[in-house]
Amino acid sequence: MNLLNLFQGIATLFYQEPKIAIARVVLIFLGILLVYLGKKGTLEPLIMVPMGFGMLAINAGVLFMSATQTGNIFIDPMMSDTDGLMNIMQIDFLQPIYTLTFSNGLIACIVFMGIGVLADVGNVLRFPFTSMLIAMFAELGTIATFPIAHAMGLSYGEAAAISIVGGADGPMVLFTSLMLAKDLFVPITIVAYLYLSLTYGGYPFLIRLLVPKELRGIVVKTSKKNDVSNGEKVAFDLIACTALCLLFPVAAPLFLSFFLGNAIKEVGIIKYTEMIENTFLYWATFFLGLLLGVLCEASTILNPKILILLILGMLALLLSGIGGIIGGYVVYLINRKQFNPAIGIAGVSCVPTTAKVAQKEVQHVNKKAIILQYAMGANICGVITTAILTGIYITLIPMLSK
Amino acid sequence: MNESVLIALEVYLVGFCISILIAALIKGMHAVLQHVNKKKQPEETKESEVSA
Repeated sequence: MNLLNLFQGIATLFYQEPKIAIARVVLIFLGILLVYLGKKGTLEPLIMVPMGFGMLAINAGVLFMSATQTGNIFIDPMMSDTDGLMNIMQIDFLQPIYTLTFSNGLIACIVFMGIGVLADVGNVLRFPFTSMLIAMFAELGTIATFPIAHAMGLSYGEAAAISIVGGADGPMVLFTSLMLAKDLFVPITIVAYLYLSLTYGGYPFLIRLLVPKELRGIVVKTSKKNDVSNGEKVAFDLIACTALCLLFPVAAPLFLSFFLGNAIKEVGIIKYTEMIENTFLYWATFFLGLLLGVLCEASTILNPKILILLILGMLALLLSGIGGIIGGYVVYLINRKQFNPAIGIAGVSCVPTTAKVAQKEVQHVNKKAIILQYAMGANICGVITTAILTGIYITLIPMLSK
Repeated sequence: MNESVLIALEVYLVGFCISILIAALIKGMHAVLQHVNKKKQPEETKESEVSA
């Protein structure tokens, strides 16, 4: 008896093609690195720790399914046949979660509902035009990356899915790639989450590079009184949800999740708010991380398009950051130089990270400058504009393909 | 390439119009609700004066 066959994770390394075996080893180490960076705080630990463990376990735990076939007992993302799916759901322990929550976008919607609970739309109601204008400028990456991606050989659907990374909203990228680029949704979503974690580190440098110190210290007028009532916020949720669902029914689950989450908080249903914030959101984030890790199987990741996606994801986020700051300058000029252009970066949604990044950078220069009201307004509008562009892409692209 | 640039511009233009429309809706709704609240307030103070 060959002793190696007793330890199939190792035996399969010698049986598989060398490039797959090498990729498996690399991914095991990458998984360990992600957990380390998550623990250190360089990357978002809520996503990176389960993702890193999932990545290393799926690539280490490969076994012989038959004499000639290797596989795993975690998940089979490519299974679509109903009978096969029912069988596999009884064997692969993560398959039920994947089939019933991940591949239909439910997990993305739950995360989005959580974002809705955390978001305060009061600042959007205070400064609607300023916030929307900045947010639309901060969609530069979502728009400009599309033709570049197409020129680099991606289909319209794939190009739209990777462009949405510029919106800096993880659930939205997942939702778009599931709708438009099902074959590439694993690498696209992984690229998105990796880069979104790096946003915390990269954007401060972009602000320092593009906004001179004297402009970064500008104090903006803020509203001290609580002039937006809960009723107004709920009315906004109702109007915006109805209007956007009427315009883009394909993205209606996303709109419903976000505005329902926000309305639940504003209505004051504490039990639901706590349930979504403490249970649903953490449950969804945990399984999102774990499933993304488990989907990083060597054969899936060895897609020749992955390098293109890595470049385009970075480009999309960079362009969106630049666009946001251009938006900040436009509002600065419209307001006769009484506006802080650094607020522009908050238009890149990534709630509430980019708003915090802007506030931190401004306070480095001027300790008295409080810009958080404007920054949070632009931040929430960033979520709304990304959802609008997602809605347009997933409505338009299938029409073009026909 | 040209077609994809046109698609991107089209997406942006539609997105921009909808965003501005939503901002206008918010502004309008905010103004109406504040007007209604202002009207309500004097009536409420009148009522409280009467009951006092």
